[in-house]
Amino acid sequence: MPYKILYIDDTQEELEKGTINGLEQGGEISIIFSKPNFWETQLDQIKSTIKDFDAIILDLRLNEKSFDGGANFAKYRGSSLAQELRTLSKESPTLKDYPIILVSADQYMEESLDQTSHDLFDLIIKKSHIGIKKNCLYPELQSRIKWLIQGYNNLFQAEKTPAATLNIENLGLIDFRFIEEWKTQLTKPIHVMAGFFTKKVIDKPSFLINELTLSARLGVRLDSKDWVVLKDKYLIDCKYKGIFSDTYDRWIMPAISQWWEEKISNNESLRVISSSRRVELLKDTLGLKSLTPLEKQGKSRSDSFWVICKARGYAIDTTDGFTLAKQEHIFPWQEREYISIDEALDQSIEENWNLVAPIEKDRLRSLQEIYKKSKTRGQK
Amino acid sequence: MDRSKEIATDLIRLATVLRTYPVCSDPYPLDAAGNYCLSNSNRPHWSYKVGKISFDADLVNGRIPFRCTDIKVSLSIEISGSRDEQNETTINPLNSLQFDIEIEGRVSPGEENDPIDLFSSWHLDRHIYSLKDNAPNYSHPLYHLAFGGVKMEPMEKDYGRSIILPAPRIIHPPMDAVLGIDFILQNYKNKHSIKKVIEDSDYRKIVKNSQARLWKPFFESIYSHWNPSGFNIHNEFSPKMILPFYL
Repeated sequence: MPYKILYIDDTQEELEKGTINGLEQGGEISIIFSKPNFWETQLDQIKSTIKDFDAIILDLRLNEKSFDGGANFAKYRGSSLAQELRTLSKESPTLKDYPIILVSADQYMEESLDQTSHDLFDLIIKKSHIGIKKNCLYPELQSRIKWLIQGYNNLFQAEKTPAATLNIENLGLIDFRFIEEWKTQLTKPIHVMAGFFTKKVIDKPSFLINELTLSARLGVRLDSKDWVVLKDKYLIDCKYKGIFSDTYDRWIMPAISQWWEEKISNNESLRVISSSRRVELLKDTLGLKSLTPLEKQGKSRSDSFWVICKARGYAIDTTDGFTLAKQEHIFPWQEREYISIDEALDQSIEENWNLVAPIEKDRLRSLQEIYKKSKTRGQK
Repeated sequence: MDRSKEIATDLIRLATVLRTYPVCSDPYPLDAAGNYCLSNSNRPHWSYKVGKISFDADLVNGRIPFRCTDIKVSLSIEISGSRDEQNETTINPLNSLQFDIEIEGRVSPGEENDPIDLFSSWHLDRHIYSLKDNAPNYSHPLYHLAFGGVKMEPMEKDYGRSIILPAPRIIHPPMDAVLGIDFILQNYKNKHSIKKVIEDSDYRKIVKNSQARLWKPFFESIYSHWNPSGFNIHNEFSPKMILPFYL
């Protein structure tokens, strides 16, 4: 049976119709479109029908077009509606909680929303990106929405303890500060727990790492023939199997460290040795023949790869990267994100994340100096 | 407090200090080590690993090549020690130690060329004596600092006219992550950059704790050579093992 999603927008033109068609491809999602209504009416409508829905999509600006073809306009924005819906969920815990997705045609949407408003939504998408930008293509959007809905359902049904929700055999491996924080989160409404876990644990590098980071840390190229056997068979016990674990694979980093010490090498530190040495040890101990070591890219100096350049997607050592800005207040169990030197020196990129942390600015400036002088810049 | 917990707490507090002052772009490896040490508190030894924590070195006169820049100094450490508080006998504070400092830099050989990568490393070794050993062929103080190492060996063609030998092995007191980080800050950053950190009272307390745990027994043993009756030194931590040159 397909997931049912309520989509409220004051506009229903080509773009919106296209979005609905795109999301409904494959028959696993069914969208019920509705124009907004007067505030009280809208809320009543949602409250009485929400048990039939699995998620809600809201447009940000609900107040631009009349909703009945006449003189009546909604006088609120999607964010105000979301706020009210979240408050209602909080006040009646037995009332279903569900993912809320924000779409907007507004070019400056991110800036016009403050942080509290950001926290209301499980997913925020610009209408101009849907179906076009790399991580906004329909298959990816469908997966993400289904993942959110399933995660919410699992959280709702699970016993609200770290053991039951994380499904990790040895909880002692996980940073005690995360466990304490998670226990607190588990006393809050489902949408708060879900928002915390999806945004701070799954979507950012933490004690759970994604496949790209796993490949960097083991020093193995993803296209190695034996990569799949390595990650699916030998690392099966290190795979994360708790809430929100379907769709996006994650591995438990402390479990990987322990596995390395116990099964691969007790005296050669994974962090310090080169990718070729890592691969040599993996081949020797596991008997795998087709593992190819990762190689340095661009201006990297070190082959003790550990993190992924957020922009270019390749493996770098932390000493070959720049930490990104706005990470001064991350939790101690979250890892910092990096961009590579090549990315930092490439000044043509305008995206937000190309801003490096203030502490790194002097270093960036001095690197810009020495590479400017080099006449073969750009060839390496 | 249990020694394992004391050590773990100090690591975590040091990570917090490093986040407060702009001296380290990513103190995460220290947080992870602190948590690991805490979670192992039911084992017979305390232990932790710090993956690779890096600091930007300030550019100092007298560096070779003199135009080198973008210098990163990183510490990687694996360490363990006894949890017992030995009050009567002075014992070796550590059971195992792997302590590596890696220095990475860049230099432009000239206007025409791309910058080239530079690398060197130091390690603080703990010499493992076995009963089957005769005296080693070269002087091995129990804890010694040495230049070079495994990572530099494959790069031999890149060292120009330098000659790098495994000697001298310079006696140095043992270091843990706290003392290692203090070592890096005090040796590779100018006083102006680190003034606020080393004056921070939390930082000073943490460093003092490590000096007491690791340096006090070390210097007690060294001094006991001149005052044997004043100390009770374990025979596996004798002054002659620490400093073989003693006569």
